[in-house]
Amino acid sequence: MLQALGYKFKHTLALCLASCLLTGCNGLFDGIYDEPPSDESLQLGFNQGDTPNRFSIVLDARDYDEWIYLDLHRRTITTMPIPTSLTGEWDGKSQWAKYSVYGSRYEQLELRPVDTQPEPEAWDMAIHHFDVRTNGGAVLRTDYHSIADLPSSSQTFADEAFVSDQWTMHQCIVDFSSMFDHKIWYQTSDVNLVLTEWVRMDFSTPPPKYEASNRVYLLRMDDDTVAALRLRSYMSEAGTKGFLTIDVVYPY
Amino acid sequence: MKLTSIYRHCLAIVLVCAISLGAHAHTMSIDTTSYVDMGELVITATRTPRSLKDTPVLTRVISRKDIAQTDATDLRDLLQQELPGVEFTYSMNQKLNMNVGGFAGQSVLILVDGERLAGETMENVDFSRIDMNNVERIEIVRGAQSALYGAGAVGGVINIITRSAQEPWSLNLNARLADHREQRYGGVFGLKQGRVGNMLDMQYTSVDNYTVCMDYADDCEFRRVYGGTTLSVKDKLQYTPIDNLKLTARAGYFFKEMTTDIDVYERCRDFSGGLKAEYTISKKDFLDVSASYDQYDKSDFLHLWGTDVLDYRNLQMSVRTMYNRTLRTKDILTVGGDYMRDYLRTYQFADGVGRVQHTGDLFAQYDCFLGKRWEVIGALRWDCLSDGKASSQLTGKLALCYKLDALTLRGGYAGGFRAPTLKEKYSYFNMVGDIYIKGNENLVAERSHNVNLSAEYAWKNYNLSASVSYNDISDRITSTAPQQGSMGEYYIQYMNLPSAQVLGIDFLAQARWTLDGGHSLKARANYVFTREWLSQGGMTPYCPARPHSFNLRLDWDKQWTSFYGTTFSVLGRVLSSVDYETMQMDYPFATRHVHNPAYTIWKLQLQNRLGKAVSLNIALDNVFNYAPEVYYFNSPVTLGINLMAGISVDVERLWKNGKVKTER
Repeated sequence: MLQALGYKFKHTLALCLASCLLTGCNGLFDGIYDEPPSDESLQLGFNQGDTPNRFSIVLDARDYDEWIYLDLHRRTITTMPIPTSLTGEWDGKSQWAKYSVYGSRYEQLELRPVDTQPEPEAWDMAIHHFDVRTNGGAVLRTDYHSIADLPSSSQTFADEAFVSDQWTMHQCIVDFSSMFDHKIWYQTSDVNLVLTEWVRMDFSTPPPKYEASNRVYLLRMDDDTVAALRLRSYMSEAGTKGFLTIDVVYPY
Repeated sequence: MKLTSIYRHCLAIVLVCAISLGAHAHTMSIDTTSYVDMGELVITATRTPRSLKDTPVLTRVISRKDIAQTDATDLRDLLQQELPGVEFTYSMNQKLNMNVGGFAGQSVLILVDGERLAGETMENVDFSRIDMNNVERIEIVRGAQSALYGAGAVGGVINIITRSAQEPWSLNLNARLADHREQRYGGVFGLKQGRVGNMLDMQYTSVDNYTVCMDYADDCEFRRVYGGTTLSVKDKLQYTPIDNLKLTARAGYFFKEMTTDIDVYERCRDFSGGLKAEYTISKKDFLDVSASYDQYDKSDFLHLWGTDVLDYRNLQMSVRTMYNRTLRTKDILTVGGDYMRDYLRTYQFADGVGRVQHTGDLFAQYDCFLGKRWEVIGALRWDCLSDGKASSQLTGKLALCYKLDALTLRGGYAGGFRAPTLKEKYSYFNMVGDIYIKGNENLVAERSHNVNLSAEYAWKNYNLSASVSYNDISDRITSTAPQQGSMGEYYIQYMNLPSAQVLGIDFLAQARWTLDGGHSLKARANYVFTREWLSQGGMTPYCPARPHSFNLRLDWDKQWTSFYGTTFSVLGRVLSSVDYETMQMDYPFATRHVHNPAYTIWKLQLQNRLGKAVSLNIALDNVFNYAPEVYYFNSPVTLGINLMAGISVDVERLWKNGKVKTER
């Protein structure tokens, strides 16, 4: 029996090898892998959900040199570049800051005044890669991992402590090119540090490592309306990091 | 641990050993059995079976028994324990790089049963796919060997020889547990009926991720050690239809998953298979024909999407043939030729399209005996590559061997080359931020000229050897310092470095004593000196070799009763500090000095043999509790003492009578 098995095994293997050599095949077992849609075929923008106040947003936030402004009221998206130099009068706070970064140790190396970050007339939240800021809003991190599990009304959270944006010197990375030497350029900016933690990025030893919180966040805007946000993914189905898929309930 | 402290520990261990040896001196008797089996057949240096004492090129063998006593899981585990001058270091994202006496992994050819391995990461093969579960022996030949093995054999060849079924049936089951929830479970099942034999080898390993560098404010080059799981299944079927023809079919599957990122698991798979026919045409003629398939895939399992996305494939298909003819009485003429199709598809190619390179070669070697004492061996090989500027390579080898009783003198010249890989020629990808890695289609082959001399003295139970090897390397393939491109982007490009030299000196002393009362003692001390000279202009893509390294191994064996025996082993390695210049990845890309401190690691191991079938291993690794102050890429990956416990059961011996078996 072992002998018969031996013949069968060898003949099968011989056939595989011979067919591969003769046909110039480029590999076997392709079927065990998935073939996700390419990044180019992604439907960027707002995608309506199954109820009027539920929708998702797909964004290409790969670039570090721009802010993507979202207007949830009007469901519009506007992209604005980050200023790289000072062309007019300095506002006294907008800068590029170069830091030496070793884990949690930041040492400021250089400051460079730049123009004020341009903004559209109406917007509710803005995204720079994974960083988020709000237009006068505040954010609460809930214990929920799914929008479907949320209570029916945001009033349940009315007494919770929502956190406003704060000015940061080393949060918004604009130049990674000296990362291997632990030197990074940042844009000084307002950032909502609670919502920004929807993806934690650890670049203490390159390359950066990412971890999604998978929580639902509530954004209370300056008109007291509330949006529930959950980052479904920070990468495309092809694995490209920086493509954000955000599930939204607004108004919530 | 500072150097003075290292010396103090070494001195203490040497003193303890000397005292224990002295205490036994009065009961010591001379045994003519050598530490190593000098009659063991080796094949790597000449591609024909030769006994270790007769091989004209100095060959180091790690036997199955050594592997069992080391209780190593994979090649990395074993080599750094057994060989000084071998260091495994990390590069970015904890990709493993091997350095063998000044030659990085891309310049040392690793073979399994004479076949190349597909797939690489930072130009190194995946060492974790070479498990030690079913290895018969490992042969290491240092110095260029391209005249026999072609591209890649610039700094040496490491050939892993696997076991074949010898007994009607055999079953070994083994397991090992260690810190960080490290687990290894293995089994080897052998069957031999008449003219058919089969060996099935399976191994599963698992280890947790763990943090070595707690303080985020220090200068560690890595902080987390990425664990993961591996699964390996290999089968080797042998059939001897007639007495002088042996057919071998093999197939293997390997899977590895590393959790480097919580949402993205790095996966590697390897599918391999091969057929081989060994035909002894007559007493003087032998023909060997083989075909091999090796497909190494890398994919990312995206946890958030539940998809497994292939992003790298290297497929090597080859056909080899070799013919030996014995001329006069002992001279051997070897001629052969190989063809290989090398396919690479990787995310590192800008267009994402796979590329193919065809390689063909012809070689001839003549092994000539001049009287009883002299042997001359010469080889010439012509390699032809279909792609790029390294299309034709001619390499040669000339070795001389002189035997005078217990003394063997060897010397020779050997040429080596490493053809630029498809990745080194055609890569273009964004590594991170604005830094790109660019291939270079104008790369030429790296060439090396190796001159070596060695003396080996094997007398009774003593074996001493000393060797010197000098390598002159031209056009070494490395990478440039960071440069700014026309679009303002920064990039690192592969380049040929005009010249480099590597000097290696190796002293090895081995002895074995049998003492009265069923005791035996084995000792091996091995020192390696390495010196590298690199011309300016490129970046060292790996940590350079440490100039001094020393390994010591002592095994004290005692069979207490017919049922119970022990082997107590002390294994130590001492590595000196190394200083080198590297490039800052920040404009204006000035050089900076790096100092990697010396360190020493010692391991105590007790092997308990219960009856004929069971072996229990208990090991205390890093007994001096060494932990680096700063974890550099070439620091030992340890947090301190590591307790390991292992068991090996030869199931068939539970029913059979036979000699006491100590192997795993």
